[in-house]
Amino acid sequence: MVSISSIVIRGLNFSYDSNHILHDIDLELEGAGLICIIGPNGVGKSTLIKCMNGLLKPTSGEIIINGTPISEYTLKELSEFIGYVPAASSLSFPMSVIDSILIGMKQIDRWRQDPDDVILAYRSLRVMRMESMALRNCNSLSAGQTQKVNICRGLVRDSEILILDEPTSNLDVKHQLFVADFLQRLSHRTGSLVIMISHDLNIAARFADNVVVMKEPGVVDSFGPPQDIISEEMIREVYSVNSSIIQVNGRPHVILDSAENW
Amino acid sequence: MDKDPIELTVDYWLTREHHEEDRKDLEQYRRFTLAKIIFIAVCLIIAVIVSGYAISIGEYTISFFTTYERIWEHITGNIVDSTDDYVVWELRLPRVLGGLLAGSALAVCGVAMQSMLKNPLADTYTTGISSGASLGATLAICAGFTFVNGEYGIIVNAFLFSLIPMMMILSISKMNNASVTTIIMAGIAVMYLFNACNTVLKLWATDEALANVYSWSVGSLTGLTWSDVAAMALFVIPGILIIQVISNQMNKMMLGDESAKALGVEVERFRLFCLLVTSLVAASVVCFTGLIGFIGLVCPHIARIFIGSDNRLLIPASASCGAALLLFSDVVGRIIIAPNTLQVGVVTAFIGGPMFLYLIMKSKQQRW
Repeated sequence: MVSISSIVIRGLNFSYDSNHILHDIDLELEGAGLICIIGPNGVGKSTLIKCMNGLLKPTSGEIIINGTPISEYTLKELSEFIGYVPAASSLSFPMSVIDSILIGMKQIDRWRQDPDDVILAYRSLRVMRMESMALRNCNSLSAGQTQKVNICRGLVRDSEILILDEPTSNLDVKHQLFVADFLQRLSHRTGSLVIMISHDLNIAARFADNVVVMKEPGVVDSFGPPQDIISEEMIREVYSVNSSIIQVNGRPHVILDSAENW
Repeated sequence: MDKDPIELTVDYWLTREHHEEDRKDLEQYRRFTLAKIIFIAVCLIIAVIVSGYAISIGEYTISFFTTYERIWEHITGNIVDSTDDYVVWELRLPRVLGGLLAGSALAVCGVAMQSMLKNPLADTYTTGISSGASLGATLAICAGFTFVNGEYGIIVNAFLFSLIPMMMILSISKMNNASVTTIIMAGIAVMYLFNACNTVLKLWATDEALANVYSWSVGSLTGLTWSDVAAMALFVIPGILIIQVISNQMNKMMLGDESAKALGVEVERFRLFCLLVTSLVAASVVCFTGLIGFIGLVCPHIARIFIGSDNRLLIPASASCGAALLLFSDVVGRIIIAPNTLQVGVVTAFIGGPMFLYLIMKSKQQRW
């Protein structure tokens, strides 16, 4: 993975029927690094990332991935270099954890399971400290464990661009720290672009290389390194929450105070 | 210099050289897969044994082991006992082969529909295929309405009508962006509609026609001929092979439409294709055997309990389980109230029902 990945969004609008979600989004995401998208509920964060990986077709505007408009790729081509970890996934049927990871892999051989794939799937579980669960039924896992398996399914794709929808929402603090830290370092080591939605401002402030702040009614408020972006004014404007910010190791740390209104 | 644990984890993830533990993992996974293959092998062995037994029983008895010899002799063109050969090859083998084909086809259709619609209740009934076939047959028997004349009138009717629910479901789901729940609900709506038409037709039917409709609606392997089996095989064998070939994509569909798309599956188009193939396969069976319930719903779940839901192995497993269960039920139906015959559709429910309930209750973890 040497090539530099880029996602350029120009004048993106998206509507579900008459419901206008995203308004004139312009964004340029480029190169290695962890990008966190933050913002209040219902502001279109998930819609934005689903436009980026081709799950949703924009109403207007363009999305250019690695220099080519997204409409010129097939879903299969996009899946070759964009990995996606959805906010929630459920299997309706009994399946072992290891098999559920293997079905997400780029299987070349139709009839035989490639041993290297099996090894990689087990390794992803080891990374998440889940290796003892390999043969457990997916439906018997807790919400946090399911989320970790979802992340494994994203990791094994080894994609240039990895997009995660709230990967830390069900995790305990230790795992939240680990996942964010791991993804950031991974992106720097491999040169990949990792984009994740997060509701935890301090996770974003501490680990993100760049932060995208979205606000009502579905616009980008600001984009840049957390040191420049995360401020008391921004949090008041976007979330209507009072806060104070202290500096820890050169990064902002948010102490939430109270909501301005309800 | 000491690296912190997270840096070490990144190192571990990125260096792809093999460790000792990889070998153990692989070994564990191989044992896990072997257990699944053993399940398939056991089902196949049961199917072969039951086939032999099914051929050996009847008014003209042939010993169990002789049946295999007679089949072998016929294949190699070295016929020793022509009476035996006639009974085995012309009278009994079509029924047995038809049973094996029908059982595996119904079970595979069940697996495909369940995976495709992410719904454990999906089968030929809930998608309306059976009620469509049923209406076609009833029209032929009660109202004398057929597309082609002659002995295949009922069969062609059943086949063509079983495709109607599928087309309705597909067009409704296209209008509505093909959500899975929409498809199942459309299928059930069509099922009720067709069943109502059926009931209306039966109001004016003669007693003889009613008896005929009844025997068709409970399903039976009686009277299958070589040409029936050949026609069935023409759809069933390629159908099962196609479903096996696309089992990888079907696996991705089980993660949900969004995940499947992100993994490169053109979800709507793929679902259309699968529904088309499964409908054709199911219809080609139903029109020859009548409505054999339960196999399509239950065999996939029995196989899931033993081997999980990886479709690459689940499809052969369900096929062999379906073939074994259907043929076993047919044999039971033939001997339990001999000289009368209990229709196979009734027996599958009598055997499959309690067996399935037992398996559900026995399995402690939550599976579905």
